[in-house]
Amino acid sequence: MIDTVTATTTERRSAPRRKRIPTNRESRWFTTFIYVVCIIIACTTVGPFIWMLSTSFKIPSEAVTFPPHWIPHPWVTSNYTYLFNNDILPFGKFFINSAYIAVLVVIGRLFVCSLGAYGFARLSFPGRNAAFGLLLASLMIPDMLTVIPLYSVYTKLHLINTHFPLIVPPIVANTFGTFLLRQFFMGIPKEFEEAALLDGASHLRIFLTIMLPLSKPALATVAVFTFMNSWNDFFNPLVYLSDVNKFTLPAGLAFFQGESATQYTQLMAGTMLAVIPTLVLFLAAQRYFIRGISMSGLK
Amino acid sequence: MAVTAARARPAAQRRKKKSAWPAVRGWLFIGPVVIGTLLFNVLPMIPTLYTSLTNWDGISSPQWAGFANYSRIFSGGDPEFMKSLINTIIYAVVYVPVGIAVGLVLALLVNRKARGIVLFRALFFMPVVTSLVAIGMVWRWIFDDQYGVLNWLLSLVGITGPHWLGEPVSAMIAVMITGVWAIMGYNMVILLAGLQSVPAELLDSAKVDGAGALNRFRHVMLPVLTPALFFLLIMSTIGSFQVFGLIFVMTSGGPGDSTYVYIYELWYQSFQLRKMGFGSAMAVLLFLVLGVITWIQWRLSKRWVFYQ
Repeated sequence: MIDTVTATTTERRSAPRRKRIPTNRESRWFTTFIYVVCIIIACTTVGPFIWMLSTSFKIPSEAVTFPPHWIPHPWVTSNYTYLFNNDILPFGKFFINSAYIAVLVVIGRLFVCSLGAYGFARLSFPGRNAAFGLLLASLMIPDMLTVIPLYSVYTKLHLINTHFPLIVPPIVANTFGTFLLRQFFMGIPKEFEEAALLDGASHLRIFLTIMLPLSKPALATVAVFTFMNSWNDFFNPLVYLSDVNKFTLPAGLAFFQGESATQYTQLMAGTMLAVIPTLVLFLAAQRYFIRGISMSGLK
Repeated sequence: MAVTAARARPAAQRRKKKSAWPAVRGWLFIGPVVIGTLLFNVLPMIPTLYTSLTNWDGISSPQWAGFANYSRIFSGGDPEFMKSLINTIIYAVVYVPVGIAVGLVLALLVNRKARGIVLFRALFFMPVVTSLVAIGMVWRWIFDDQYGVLNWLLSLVGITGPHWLGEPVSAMIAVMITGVWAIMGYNMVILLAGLQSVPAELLDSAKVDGAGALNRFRHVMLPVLTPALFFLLIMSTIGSFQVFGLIFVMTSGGPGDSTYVYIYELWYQSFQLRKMGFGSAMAVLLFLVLGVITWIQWRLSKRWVFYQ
C-alpha cells in the first residue's frame, strides 16, 4: 500500500517536469556544484568509518603518527585476534551476547507486536480503544522514569546481572512496533479475509496465513529497527550487568576503553565489530529504515 | 486481564445473545503487549514518584524523607546537579537548532532526481544506525590533539588545532559536533519526507511568477515543512536532554565537569552512589521539565506550524 502511494506521488511529481525541460532543468554548473558539496559531506560521514577500519589493521605505533596514515603499513590482523584471545576482555563473548539478545528480541517482538497489532486493527471488543490509548500514552514515559523501580524489582527477583532485563521488556513492551504494524494492517483491504472468514477460518488462522505474509515489508521494518536498538543499547547493559562475561558489545567497548593496557588499534577493532552488523543491515535493508522513519518518525 | 475484561460487560453480551468469546479472543491478541507495557513501562513510574520522597539505597527499605531530595536539588545543595543541568541546557541550545539546520541543508541537497543521489542519502544516513558508543570512540580519536585527523586537517590550512577534549569549552564543542554528526541523517530523512510533499505545481507557479530560489524556499517550501520541523524540534529537545553514551566514552564528563550532563549525574547518583531517592527525584524532575518544554513548544507551534 505504501509502495503504491509513493509510486503515484513520484509519477505526479515527475510528470510536469518532463514537459518544461529547458526552463526548469538545473544548469550543469549547479548540478556539478551540488555533487561536489554532496561528496564533501559524504567524506565527513564516511571518513570516520574508513578511519576506524584503517586503524583497526594498524600496528599500535602507526596509530600515533603525525600526519596520520590512512593506509596501514604493515597490514596486521593482530588487533582482531587479540580481541578474541585475551584473558581480560572476552570480545567473542560480547559479540555472541549482543547477537543472541538482539535476535531473540527481534523474533519475540515481531510475534508480540504483530499479534497485538492484529487485535487492534481487525477485532472489535470491549477495552480495545482504552488499551490502545494506554500504549500511545506510554510513549511519553522516558526510560529514566522507570529504571530505578525496575532495578530494585530485578534485584529482588535475582535478575540483576542476567540478560532478562535486556530481552523480555523490549519484547513485550513496545508501542512502536505495535503501532507501525497496526497502521499497516489497517491499510490491507478487508476483502482478503472476508472470504476466509465465510469459509469458517479462525482469526488466528487469518492472522498467520493471510495478514503476516502480506505484511512482510512492515515486519522487515520493525525487525531492522528492533535489531538496531537492541544491538546499540548502552544504558541498560551498563545499569543491569556487572559480570564482564555477560556484557554486550557497547558495554564491553566502554569498559575496554577504561583499561590502561588497551591499545587504540584494538579499541578500533572492537568498534568495527560493534558497527559492522548494523551497517550491513542498513545497506541491505535501506528502504525499510527510511520507510520506518517516514512512517512513524521513530528510530 | 482477559477474564476481567470479558466479565466487565456481561449484560451487553447476554443481550446480544453472544458469548464472551470475542472479548476473550481480542484480549488474547492484545494481552501480551498491553500487559507487558503496563508492567515494564507504565506501572514502574508510580514507585518512582514515591521513592523520590525517600532516602533509599535500592536494597533496604526506603526511609521517608519528604521533599528533602527536591530541596537539595533546588537549594543548590548538590553543585554537580546544577552543573549537569546547565551543561545539558547549553548542549541542547546548540544541538537542537544546529542539528535541524544541518539536516535541512542535507535534505535540500538530496531532494532531487539527479543520478546517484540515492547513494548520497544512504551515505549521509550511515551514522544514524551506528552505536553512539562506537561513534564516541572513533571521534575521541579524531579529536585527539596530537595524532587526530581533525587537527591534521586544520594544520593543512595553517591552523593549529586546539587541545579539543582537554579544554572545557572545546570539549563541549567537540561533543556537540559529534552529536550533530550522529543525528543529521535522521533529521534529513524526516525533512526529506516533508520536502517531497511540497506540491510541484505550487513551486512551478511561484517560478512563473518570478520568485527567486530563496523566496520559493521561504514562502512555498518552508510552510509545508513546518510540521516536520516542529516534530524534530520536540524529538531533538527530548533527545538532547538524554545525551549520555556519547559523552560517557568521549570525555567521561570532563575535563573537570565541563561536559557532565543530566543523565550522567542521574546514573552516577543512582547506580554508583546508590542514592536512588535522589536519582528518582532527578528522573521525576526531568519528566516534568521535558513535559513543560514540550507543552510550551506545542503552544508556540500554533503560531508557526501550518497543517495542510
